[in-house]
Amino acid sequence: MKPAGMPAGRAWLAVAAGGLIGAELRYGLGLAFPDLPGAVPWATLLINVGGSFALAALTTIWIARPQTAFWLRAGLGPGLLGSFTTFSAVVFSVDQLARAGEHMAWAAYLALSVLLGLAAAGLGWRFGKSVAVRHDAGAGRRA
Amino acid sequence: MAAALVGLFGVAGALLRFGVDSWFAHHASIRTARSAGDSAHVPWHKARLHWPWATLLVNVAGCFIIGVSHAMTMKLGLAPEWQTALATGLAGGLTTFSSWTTATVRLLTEARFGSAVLNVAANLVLGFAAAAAGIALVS
Repeated sequence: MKPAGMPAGRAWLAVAAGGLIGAELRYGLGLAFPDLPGAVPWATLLINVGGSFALAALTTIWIARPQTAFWLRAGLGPGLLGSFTTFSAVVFSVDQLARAGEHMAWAAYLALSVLLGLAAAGLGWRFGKSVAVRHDAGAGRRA
Repeated sequence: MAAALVGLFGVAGALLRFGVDSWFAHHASIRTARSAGDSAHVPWHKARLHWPWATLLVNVAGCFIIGVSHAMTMKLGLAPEWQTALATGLAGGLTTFSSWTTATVRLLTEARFGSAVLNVAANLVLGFAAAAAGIALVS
């Protein structure tokens, strides 16, 4: 018996698998493109901007296709993309850059993260909607 | 070694976040359910009157953890691979940037501008405060 309101085991397993891949990808990209002292952490910025686009696109597609298996949505959304993107690293890097007196870098990093992240999510949202509309039109023709 | 720890702690963070997400989604769906239908599987993007509380909670908690991991490394000599496990793995897996931005865009599409601004501001203000508190805690 699972507790009331908690997802089934398959969803948890999918989140674990997605979370593992997302964390290792983020860790690997951090090793491949290490942060330079006093500079904007570009790898994390690109991870977060790319992940924002992908999650927003998938979210709108799933709103249009609620029949998509829950474990698949959980594995890709909260699992893979939730784990791939990170909020704490942004806050911590901004904090450390500010403490080091790198005021241009922290201000640029914070502004770019918020603005590009929201812009990417907005673009992803529109992209996902257009995909869903096209899919619906195709399904309508076939029906 | 560090890569394995990042994976292990990253999975733990993601599962913890999913548990918090599910808990909030379930309780939101109980409050607003019109029928006692399939409330256990109301996805996070379908709950009515949603405000991304779960994301705020995990993001603030993760900022505190990354602050603590830094302070423990600086002051208690925590080994680098364990700092990476806590910061990159646990805090990185627990916190999420994409859900934060996507939820904000969703609030904007619903013309809930105040909620969208509040979501951006609350995550940042409380996140910075939590990181600073974590750093200051170990001293």
